[in-house]
Amino acid sequence: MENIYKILIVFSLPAAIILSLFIGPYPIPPGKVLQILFNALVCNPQLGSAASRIVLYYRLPRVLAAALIGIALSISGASLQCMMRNPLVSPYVLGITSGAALGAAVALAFLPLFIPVELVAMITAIVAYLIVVAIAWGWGRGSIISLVLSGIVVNALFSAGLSLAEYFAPNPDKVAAIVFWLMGDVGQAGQWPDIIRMALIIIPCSIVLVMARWRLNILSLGDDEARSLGANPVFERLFFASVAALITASAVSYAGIIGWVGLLVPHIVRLMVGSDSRQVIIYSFFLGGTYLVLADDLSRAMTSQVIPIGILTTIMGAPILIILLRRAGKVWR
Amino acid sequence: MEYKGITKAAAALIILIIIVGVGSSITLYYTYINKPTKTAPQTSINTVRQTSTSTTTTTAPHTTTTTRTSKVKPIIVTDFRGKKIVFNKPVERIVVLESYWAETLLAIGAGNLIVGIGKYVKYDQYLPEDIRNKISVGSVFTGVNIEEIAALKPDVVIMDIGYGKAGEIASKIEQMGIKVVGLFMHGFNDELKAIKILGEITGHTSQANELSEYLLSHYQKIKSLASSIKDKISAVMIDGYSLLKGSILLYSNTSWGHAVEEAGAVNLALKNFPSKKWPKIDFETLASWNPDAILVTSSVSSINSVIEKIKSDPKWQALKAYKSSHIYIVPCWSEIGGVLDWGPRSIIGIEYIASLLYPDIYKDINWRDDAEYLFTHFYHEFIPAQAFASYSIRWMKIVDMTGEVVELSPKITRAVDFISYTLVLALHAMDKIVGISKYAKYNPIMLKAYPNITKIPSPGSSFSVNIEDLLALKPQVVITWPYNEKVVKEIEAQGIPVIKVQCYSFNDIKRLVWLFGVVFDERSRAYQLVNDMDKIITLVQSRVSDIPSDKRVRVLYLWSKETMVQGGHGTVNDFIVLAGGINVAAKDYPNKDYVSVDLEKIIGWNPQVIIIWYYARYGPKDILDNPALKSIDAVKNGRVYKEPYYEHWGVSASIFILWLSMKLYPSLWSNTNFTEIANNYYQEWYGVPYISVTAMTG
Repeated sequence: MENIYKILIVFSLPAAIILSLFIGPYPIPPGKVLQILFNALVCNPQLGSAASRIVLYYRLPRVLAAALIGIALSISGASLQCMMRNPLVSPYVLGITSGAALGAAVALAFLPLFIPVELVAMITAIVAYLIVVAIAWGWGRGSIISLVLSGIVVNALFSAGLSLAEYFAPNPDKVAAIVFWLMGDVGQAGQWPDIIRMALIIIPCSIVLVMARWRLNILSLGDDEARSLGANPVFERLFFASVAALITASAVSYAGIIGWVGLLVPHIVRLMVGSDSRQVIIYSFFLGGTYLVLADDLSRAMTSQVIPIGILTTIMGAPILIILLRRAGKVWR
Repeated sequence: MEYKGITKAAAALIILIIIVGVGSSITLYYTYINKPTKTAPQTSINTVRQTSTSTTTTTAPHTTTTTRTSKVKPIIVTDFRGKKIVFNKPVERIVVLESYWAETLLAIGAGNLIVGIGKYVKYDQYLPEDIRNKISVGSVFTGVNIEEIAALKPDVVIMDIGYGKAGEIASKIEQMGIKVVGLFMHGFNDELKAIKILGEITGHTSQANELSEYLLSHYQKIKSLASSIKDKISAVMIDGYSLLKGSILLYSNTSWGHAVEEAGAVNLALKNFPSKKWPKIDFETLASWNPDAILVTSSVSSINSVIEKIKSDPKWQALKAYKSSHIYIVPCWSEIGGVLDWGPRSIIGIEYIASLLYPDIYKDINWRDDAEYLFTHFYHEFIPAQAFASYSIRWMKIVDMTGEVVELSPKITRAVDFISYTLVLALHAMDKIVGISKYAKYNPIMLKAYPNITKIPSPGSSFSVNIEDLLALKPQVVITWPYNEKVVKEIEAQGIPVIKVQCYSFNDIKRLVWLFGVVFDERSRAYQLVNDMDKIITLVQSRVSDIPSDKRVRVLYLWSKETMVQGGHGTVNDFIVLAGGINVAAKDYPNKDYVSVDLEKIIGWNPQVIIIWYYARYGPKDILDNPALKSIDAVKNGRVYKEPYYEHWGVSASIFILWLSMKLYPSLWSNTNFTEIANNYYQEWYGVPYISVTAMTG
């Protein structure tokens, strides 16, 4: 049964990506989509028509962006849950989201137009993470509890900074722009250069995490056990947390805050394939991508207007988790 | 008939001499002075013939000329002198001596027939400018220039009869062979009678009937409600102008004196002086009558002086009406805001008085909306409900942009404004602002045109307010955008009235101008501003109105994100329509101000021009470089523009529309110097040239 699930999860990602290429308000028959893709694959893209431009420069990059962001959020969530031995951890616990949000708000409200919002968001996200680490290190020598607690503190601090930036924004419409940014939008990362930049961080880092899933599993045993197995738990935890933070920061700075993916997807995977962290990390990679690709499809296709994806992932996530928890109550310990 | 004593030959001779003698020189004079009107192209020969036919019919039938017109049924009317006047065909050229009859003509669709006006008609702000700019021929009080009238070759002169030199003037005009229709208004029914006569002589009978029915139905509603009043209150109506001069003149047996009774009160002046028109009494008489309510008429511009006069006079405080706060001001005459007058507006005056005297009985009578309907529907002028306020000596009541009636101090000197601050600046009312939105201090126009803005305290914004800071400013009123209902409630809980501002169309911006004009007592500037705004729109319309709908440029307006588009609702959509464009997003989102859409929608709409909001963080380059958008026309032709800074809910809206139209139809506007128009306009209303503002915003 679990094997079927595994196969399903792995194939769901390419299936979802291909399916999504057929979805959109601009009417393009599926055959035409395939033809456009084929032409592009044989290096003969015919860019004259609106349809081929939509498929190659809008749908495809957007779907890939959604997949990348979903992968980034869920794999970092899975790794963090694993290494911190805490199912309530999400990538946002390390201060990254509020860091990115503050940066984006400052850029949207005060900085001149030529400074890209993503860049500022990325920098502040990493700064926020470094502060978390510094506090955790000085306070509790990098223990799990110190990381989580300092993450909470830094989150609160940066959220207050965000409110302050909103309050002092010179124009009410800029406040509106900040609010929209906070609701998340895959479309903000919807162009090829953005995707390549994102992929250059997310893919290698994700591979690092997937390859290192053994070590993460050791960390999940607890510091004493890990030490007895010859690992340096504090160093390794900080190293892998940094990798996860980097992934999250790059996703969040491009797409805004997309809630619940990093928390939820690892849990779904765990309920489907068991709680072995090594497995959870691999399959979160695939299912995270699928989840966000489908969520983005819904956000675009559900109504005639685009619903911010951050709202959808949360609305969809909560009931899914409740249902899964009920059905698999015994698996959960 | 009046030529009975004169022989036919003599009459014909006199007329012939006058026409031949004056005719040629006057035709010359007339073509110089008067802009060619719609009726002007008629040759002088043609009009001379008309004059002679009409003259002959009143004197004696002249077979040679009447044969041509005999097939048309002659129009016979009896005017207010009881005189029968015969017209062979509907009149085409009218000289009208009084503004209210000009308004009546306008309201029955005959405003374009007016070729000459009385001296005071040009001050009637309810009339469109082309009527007010017609040649002035004098007035019943000061005498008219008969030659001037003859030069205009009118088919009829419409004038008051029954006072001043009216009778004398009328017969002088008639001696020139020009027909006179004498009118008078002694009560509401006389207006209906006048409308009927004017409808008949102009041939606009159906429009006249429509107007009559409208006025009558409102009048009957008032009458039926008034008949239910058991204990009628006693009232007098004082001429406010006499009050300012130190005497007390009452309205008794006049149409205004009757208006008080029609509203359901007992007019003590009519009771004590039933035959007098304007009895003069002294204060002791007034004190002995001690009426329940006192109405004081005032021209719109002197309302505040009349209120001051009454409040500063200690003896008035002895009156019952003063103690019970039943002293009201009735704005009259023909500045916008005036409700009591002769002509079609008389019904608004009656409604106004009725609602003041019996607010509960007439609670369903909305005189402001009735006024707006009368003007838009019959005058074809947009004079909104917001231009009208009701006054007592203690308060002024206005209707805000959400349609809610707000009670304010009649004289605003301390206001806090959270929205449309540049409009306050344009109306020269910044000295009345004690607090302003914190966002005003970043507004490019404010910074340039009013550097002192940084010194005005900011107790918050439309989004949040610091109540203690606000109270410290002791504001009489707060003007805000009701985005955050909590802010409105918080302020109202402190007993401070709140004016809510919300605009959805260009007309709403004109409402807003009037609203601010009334609140800050800057009506004349508001009037001028609305006219200036309209002038630019008229200019734009003159260029774009002929474009067939399939040739109109399809526009997309983008907000903070490339996918945040302007839907078919709201000011910007209206601006696009006025500029002659078609908002491509309007069909799919007719009820949306702005909406986040999928990029594919935009590609599907294929707009020809894309406009980007001023505050957006992206520019035309981002749209032009987006490979997904390369297939749409606007990108192919490089027609993607970023809006320079314009205040949408403010004075610059019309310049925005002009700018937009020029971007949509560059070839139609190739000979127009936009910068010059915009500079002059900004200089007039903001005190700084347009380029100095755009230089700031980049």
